[in-house]
Formats: sequence, structure tokens, C-alpha cells
Amino acid sequence: MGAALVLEIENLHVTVDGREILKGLTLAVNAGEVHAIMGPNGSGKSTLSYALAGRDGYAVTEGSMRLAGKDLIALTPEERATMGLFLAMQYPVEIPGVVTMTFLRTALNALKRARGEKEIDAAGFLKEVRAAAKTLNVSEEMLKRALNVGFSGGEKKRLEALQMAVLKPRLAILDETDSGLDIDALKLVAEGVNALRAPDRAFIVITHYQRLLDYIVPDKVHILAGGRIVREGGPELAKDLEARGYDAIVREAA
Amino acid sequence: MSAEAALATWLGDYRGNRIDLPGADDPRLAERRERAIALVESAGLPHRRLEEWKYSDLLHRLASEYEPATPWAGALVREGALADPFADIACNTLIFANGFFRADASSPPEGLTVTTLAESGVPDGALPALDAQLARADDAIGNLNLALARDGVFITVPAGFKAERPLHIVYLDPAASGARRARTVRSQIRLEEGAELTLIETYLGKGGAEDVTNAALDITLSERAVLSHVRVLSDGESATQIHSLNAALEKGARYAPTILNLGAGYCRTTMRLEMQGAGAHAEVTALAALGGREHNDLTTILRHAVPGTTAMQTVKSVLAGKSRGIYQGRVVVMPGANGTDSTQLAKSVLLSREAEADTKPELEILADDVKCAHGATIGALDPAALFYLRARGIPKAEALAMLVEAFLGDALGAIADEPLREAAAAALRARLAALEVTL
Ligand SMILES: Nc1ncnc2c1ncn2[C@@H]1O[C@H](COP(=O)(O)OP(=O)(O)OP(=O)(O)O)[C@@H](O)[C@H]1O
Ligand SMILES: [Mg+2]
Repeated sequence: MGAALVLEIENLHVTVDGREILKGLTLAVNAGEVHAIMGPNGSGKSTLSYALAGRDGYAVTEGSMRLAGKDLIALTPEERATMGLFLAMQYPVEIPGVVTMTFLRTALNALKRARGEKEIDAAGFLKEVRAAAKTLNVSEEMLKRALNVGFSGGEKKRLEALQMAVLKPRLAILDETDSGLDIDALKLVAEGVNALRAPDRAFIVITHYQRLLDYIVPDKVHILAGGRIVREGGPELAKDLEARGYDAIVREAA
Repeated sequence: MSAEAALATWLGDYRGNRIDLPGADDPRLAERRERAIALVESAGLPHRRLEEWKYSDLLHRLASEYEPATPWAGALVREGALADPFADIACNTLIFANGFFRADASSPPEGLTVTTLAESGVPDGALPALDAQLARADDAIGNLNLALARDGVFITVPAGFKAERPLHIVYLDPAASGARRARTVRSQIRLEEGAELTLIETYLGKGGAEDVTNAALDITLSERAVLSHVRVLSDGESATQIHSLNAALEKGARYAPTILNLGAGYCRTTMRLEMQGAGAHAEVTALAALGGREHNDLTTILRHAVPGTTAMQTVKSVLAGKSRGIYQGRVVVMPGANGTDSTQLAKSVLLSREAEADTKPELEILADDVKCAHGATIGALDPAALFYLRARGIPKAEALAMLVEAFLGDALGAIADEPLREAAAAALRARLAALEVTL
């Protein structure tokens, strides 16, 4: 048996705007592992990530999701974050008037407060953010700007990675964090993930591209189609997919 | 009480007390008061059938017995519903208590001429603005104010004088209980050529009784004069605050008022800006953060009379509970006033389903080559932004506060002086923290 389960999803059904998108999804992720989820456009990958993070409008109609043994369904997004869930969003939201740096510090201290830990002081925080910003090539100037406002696609994704590095989640879900990144940035973000890999931490990497998985080698690859996991395998499954496409693989699974 | 009876109450105050009003023995003033009250009598009190008053039922607020406020000699506490946000800013301070100047508590600045209505009547230089008031025959509130004004301050900043410290006028309502009172204050600020001043006004009340404040401020800015003006209002839920803000801008003058309504049962501000000299520029910022049944009506009338004047109006409201935020922005570009650039931006955020925002731009353009842009949005806070913050662990209430503050906060950038801006921001935060989000 060995490693503890970080995430346990069973027979999950999720409805958005009255339409069932996830139709009985089952997935388990152990501590210390990296899982990749791949799947055609519209198959429900982002829906899964939002349902896990607790976004309004993503109604769980059946099934369960547990984080470190605790049922998530009744929890607010901030409670889930406090438990160590982090979602790097496919489309990070622009928030005018909220300075990125202030936001980061508010988030970190909110988590610490909720966990009964001591808040971080300004100097300690600055040091930590600067270090993470440097490895991810996020400029000081970006941190002074309003959150995601006017950031390029790649800058937004790097900032998501930076938040992950600062907030140090137990389970990080990266929803197409690689989309929009140039090759150098892709490497930086992958290195960022790899540096965070730890026995008590797990990752779900949602991606369309094999290339990311060359840098972040997953323990398992899942293929999500039609609201379910239709195939699971090792890293070779992603390569197979790259070579043959979804159609063939999904049909095979059916 | 009927409209006629309400009018009779106010006229009765004048007729019964005119011999005791300041300047009663000065024909220059007494005669103008007579003309003013005659105009009120023929126009009647404002009612909702008048386009300019259609969103704000003032008659209802004026229709009950009241007593004219009397001077207050007791202790002064600089707080209303909120504490005076600028108490720690180094300023020259003029204090009004219950609508009357308190010389003992005030520190008039050196280099400026400061006199008060109750003490020394009206200086000659103040008469043109009173005549401008009388020329607005339909403006019953302004004329009622002129007829009934019990006190006020006349300030002149001499040519070229650049005041180092802000001038802070604090209006306190120290005895917020007992009978319903009416305060009528009329002040004037005149900046001569090239003079510069930062003016702060705080209106602090707890509105225990259903008091009515009718305050008018006439501002005259001569060539190249620069006036920064911050006004904060924090009063109780039953208070009625009626303000007239009349400014005339000569060549190259700049006027930048920032008005923050941080709570008052009913507040109507009528702002009239006369852009009379080329290169004159007005930068109007008005923010309101309201809850309960509070009602805020900002009505601006901006007249571009000559070529080459510019104005920017930014109006933002955050409305909780059953509150209501109204902005009527009228821009008039007179014939020949080419090259006018006048922009209006109105944004409201509703924090409850029962709150309401109304915006009415009105453009009257009688010249060519004019830029008059206006935009208005009314909505809830961005749910995607709220989720994003919460997903990072920020609790809902704190996340909402961040978003609301962000929505209003950038508008405070219009206050150039940093400590002043910070103090205004802190007051805004304190107010926002008290508002309930019920979406
Ligand atoms: N608000 C909504 N109302 C109705 N349908 C929705 C809504 N949001 C998403 N969907 C639908 O749910 C399905 C799954 O969307 P989702 O974003 O989860 O796909 P995805 O797998 O992440 O796709 P991509 O690879 O393009 O990111 C899509 O068909 C989408 O149109
Ligand atoms: Mg997606």
C-alpha cells in the first residue's frame, strides 16, 4: 500500500447550468505523485478542477471527493484552500485595483490564520516572494501591477506558478498552465513544479501537450473523455496519444 | 404635511426671524434675502415632478416642523457615524458646531482673509456670488439657503498665495437628540489669480434627530487658481443633507473636488460648475458607500461657456441594503464653446438585490468640435474575481471587501496629497467594513 491518498474521487457527477458534464469520474492520487490528465476540448477537465476548488455553479449531483480523507463537497473554496488545495487556473482572472503583491500576502496570511499559524511579516514575505519570482522570471514590476491586469498569456501562467510556489499546497492542480508559455518559460514552470515535488505533496497536471510531460514526468496519465476517465497508464500513454490522437485511443477504450 | 404647509413652515422661519438674521441691518444683505425668499415662494419647494428632482423626494424630507439650529457652546467631539478621518493631518482648522462658527476652537490660516457671516456679515467681494444665486430663480434650495443662512465663512486666498497646509472645515453636529433642527450655512471661497489651496470639509453627524442641513458653498477661481477639494460626509441614517456647490472657473483655473459620502440618510448634492475661461479644467470625483435605506443624489450641471475648457467626472457608488445611488450629470456646451472636452463616467456596484442605482446623463451641445463621452455601468461584483480570491484562501467577506475597495479605491487617486489620500482611503475602508453584502 505505502503512500497515503491525497485525493480520492469516486463516481463524480457534476452539472453546470443544468447540463451534466462529469458523468461518473473516478480518480485517486497518492501523496508524492504527479498525475497528468489529458483529454479532448470540452471533455470536462476544467469542470473537474472547478468542482474540486468549489466554484459556484458546479453542482455535484452524485459521488464524492475527498482531500486527505476529508469530504470536500460541503466546504467553501477558502476552506478547501486552507486544506491545501490549489488550482492554477486555465484562465486566470484579471482583478483591477488589487495589487498583485498585496493579494499574495493577503492570501498567504489568510491561509496561515485559518491554519492557526503565525502570520508572516513584511520582510520575510518579501524575501520569499522575491526568491520564487526570480526562479520563475516574474519581474518586480509585475508584482506591483494590478493582479493579472494587462499581463500577457504567458505572464499570467507564470504568476499562477508563482502563487503555487508561495502558497505551497498539498495538492496542486495545474489546468493547462503550459498553454501560452514560450519554451523557456515552460522549462521554468516545470522546474518550479519539480522543485516543489515532495513526499507529502501531489500534483494534477492538465495538459494537451506531451512536451510538458517531458519535463514533469508523471507517475500516471489519465485520459478524460465524455465526463469520465476512460484510460489510465504510465508516461508512455501520453506518447501514444501524441502519436495516434484521441480518436483512436478513446475508441479503443470504449 | 402638504407641499403648501411645508413651504409655509420655511417661509414662516424667515418671516418670523428675519430681524435676527445676521446682516439684518445691512441693506446689501437684507434686500438680497428678501429677493431670495420671494423666489422660493414663487418657485415652491422642489418636488418629484421636476426633472431635476425626479429621483429624490426632497419635499417629504422638508415637510415637518423644525426648529432653527442655535449656536452650540459645549464640548466638541470630532466624530460622526465615523471619526473625523483627517483629525491627524496637519491643517488649519475651522470648526462649525450645529451650523455656527466656533472661533475658540478654530485656527484660521495666516495669509488668508477669513471672516464669518454671523460675526461680520457679508464682505463686498462676496456679493457677486450671491447675485449669481439670485439669478437662478428656479433653484429654491439655493435661494432658501441664501434667505435663511445663519452663519458661514468667507475665505479669500490672495493672488499668487500658495497655502502650505490644507484648510480643513469641520461641521459638527454635537447635540444629536431632541427636536428636529434645521441648519443653514452659506460659505464662500475665492481664490485670486494664481492662488492655490487644498480645502478639506468634513460633515460629521450622528443624525439622532431628523435634522436638516442646507449648506451652500460658492467657489470662485480666478485665472490659474488651483483648488483641490476633499469633502467627506458621515452622518446618521435619519439625517438630511442638502448641498449646493457652485463653482466658477476663470482662464486656466483648475478645480478638483473629491466627494465621499460615507453614509447619510438622505443626501442631495447639486454641483454647478461654470467653465468661464479658456483652459479651465474640472476633475470631479464622487464616491458613495451606502447601506440601509440611505439615499445619495449627485446632480451636476456643468456649463462650458467658452472654447477650450475640459472636465472629467468620475462617479462611483457601492450600494448595500436598500440604499439608492443617483447620478444626474448634465453637460451644457454653449454656442461657440468649441474644443470642449467633457467626460462622464458612472459606475455602481450593488451589494444587495434591493439596492438601486440610477444614472442619467444629459448632454446639451450647442457647439461644434466637441468631445462629450459618457459611460455608465451598474452591476454586481465580478463572481469570477470573487472565486479567484477565495480559491487562494481569502475568506469571502475579506475577498468582497478587497473587490469593493479596489472598485472605489482607484478613484481616490484624484487626491494628489498622499497623507490625505491615505486618510480618505482608511475612512472608506472603515465604512465598507460596516456594509453588509447580501447577494
Ligand atoms: N456555464 C456553462 N454552461 C453550460 N455548459 C458549460 C458551461 N461551462 C462549461 N460548459 C461546458 O462543459 C463542457 C466541459 O468544459 P470544460 O471547460 O470542463 O472542458 P475542458 O476539458 O477543460 O476543455 P479545454 O481542453 O478546451 O479546456 C464543455 O462542453 C463546455 O461547453
Ligand atoms: Mg479546460
